[in-house]
Amino acid sequence: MKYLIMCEGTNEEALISLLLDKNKLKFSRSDLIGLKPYHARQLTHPVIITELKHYNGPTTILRIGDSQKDELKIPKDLQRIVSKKNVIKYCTKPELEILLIINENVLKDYQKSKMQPSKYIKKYFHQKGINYTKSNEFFKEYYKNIQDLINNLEEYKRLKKHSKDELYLVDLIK
Amino acid sequence: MKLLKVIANNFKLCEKNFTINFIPTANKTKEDKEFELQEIDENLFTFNTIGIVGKNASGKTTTVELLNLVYKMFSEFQVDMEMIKAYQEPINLKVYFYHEKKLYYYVTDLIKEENAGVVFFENQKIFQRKYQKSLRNLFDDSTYKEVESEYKLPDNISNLFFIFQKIQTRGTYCQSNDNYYKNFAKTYQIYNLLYKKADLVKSILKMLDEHIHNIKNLEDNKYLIIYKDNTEKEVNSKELYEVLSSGTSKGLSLFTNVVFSLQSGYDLIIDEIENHFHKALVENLINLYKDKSVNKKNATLIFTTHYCELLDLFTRNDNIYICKFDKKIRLENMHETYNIRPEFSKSNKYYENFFETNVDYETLMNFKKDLM
Repeated sequence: MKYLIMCEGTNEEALISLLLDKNKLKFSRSDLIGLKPYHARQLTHPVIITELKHYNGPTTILRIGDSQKDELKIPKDLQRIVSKKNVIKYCTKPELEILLIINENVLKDYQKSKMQPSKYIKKYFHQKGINYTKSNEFFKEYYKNIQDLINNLEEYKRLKKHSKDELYLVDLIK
Repeated sequence: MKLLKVIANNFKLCEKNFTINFIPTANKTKEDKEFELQEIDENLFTFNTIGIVGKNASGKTTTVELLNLVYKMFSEFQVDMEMIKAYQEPINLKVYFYHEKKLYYYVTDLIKEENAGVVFFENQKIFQRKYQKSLRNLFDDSTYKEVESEYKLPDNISNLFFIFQKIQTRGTYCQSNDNYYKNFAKTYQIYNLLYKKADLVKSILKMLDEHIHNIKNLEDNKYLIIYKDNTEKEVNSKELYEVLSSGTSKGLSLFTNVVFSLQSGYDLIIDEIENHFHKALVENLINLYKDKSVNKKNATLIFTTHYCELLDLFTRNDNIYICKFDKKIRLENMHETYNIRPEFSKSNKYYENFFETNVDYETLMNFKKDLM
């Protein structure tokens, strides 16, 4: 059994890569299709399709994103490799940047602002003279101490209630 | 350094203004930026893979030989006589390229000097301008200024030397000719440049031949084959070629080049990429160049193939060229010449003869009839 990690955005991909590299997840790169998380919403790109076909064994898809309203379509020729019941959603709502807000301890101020987390945090960091970019480099630098990220994921789960079919990123931590 | 566009005149049987483009001309989606394109500077993208298809004798090899000549010029500032052997007319080249925040174009005529046995560079000029983070006027020559040469180089040395200063592989060519892969010394020379990553040869061999554990280069022309069952055999280069399957010989050399290309960021040209290999190996090779976690230094893979299914690995059309030969060799860009949606199966279109690349059925039957 292998996992295919599909991240909705580059942010999610950066966080998962960070946790993988620090060996904090319940699985390692060698358990992953293509040895890496992919930035992809649907099973359409030939690179992902060929990787799945080359593996040709049972695969669980872990979808990482915020709301993930769109249903994952599984092409016919991949249905013997991935079944619908093996698609699991991990959500961080309303946006991944909520973790940064938790870490900066500005949750109340953010709630008052009624802004989107990404816009709020960009403005907040700007005021502090920090340039926030949705990039691998930013997250690597920001979560140099990986325990901060794990604490934020735990705190997020304590604060937020998801529907039954949406799990929390902290559930992937070993 | 990244090539942006190559325009050639009088190169072998190629038509006038024979052009190969390395930058996207169609829209760029988020997915393309993830898998198909590499951002070499802000807003400046090049392809990470380029496919060249066409019938037999349509000019695919000639196209990659032209690119080989260009990369040789950019790597070593010289061109071998062999590369332009049978042709008398001066070859005219115009090459646009990007290097260290600047855009350049270089023009030259290549002239054979039979007596000296070398190729001379004549009428050379280099023009440059700063890359302004915009694609506007990218190929508008009037926006460039000529770079004055510091001094006169020997006639067989290109003025590109003034830009790059040192000899360095910037692109290399893997031919389809099997003899090329008999040269294990060259393979191990590249392997040694990879700082002797001991497991590299082993992991390449594991993909190619499950019976061989490792092949060590003991000394000049002496190799040790270590089999999976721990038996060993000492052989010279010629014997090694005889012992290994043709796929393993080619794969050992080709994949060593792939590793070096990906690790140092130089471009790799492979003629007939599918030759001797299982489909999964070829698909995996192409995918390595589309994977940013592996292709970290923006290397580009350029390949020719008869295996049209490989085109289905492309989600764009502008990085696919179709070679046609009709008095002269011409290149058709799939995006510019054919109106098909990129997500459609290109191999299906190929089989439907949409690109007029099918072998004529009557020709096949004519041959069969001769055998009856």
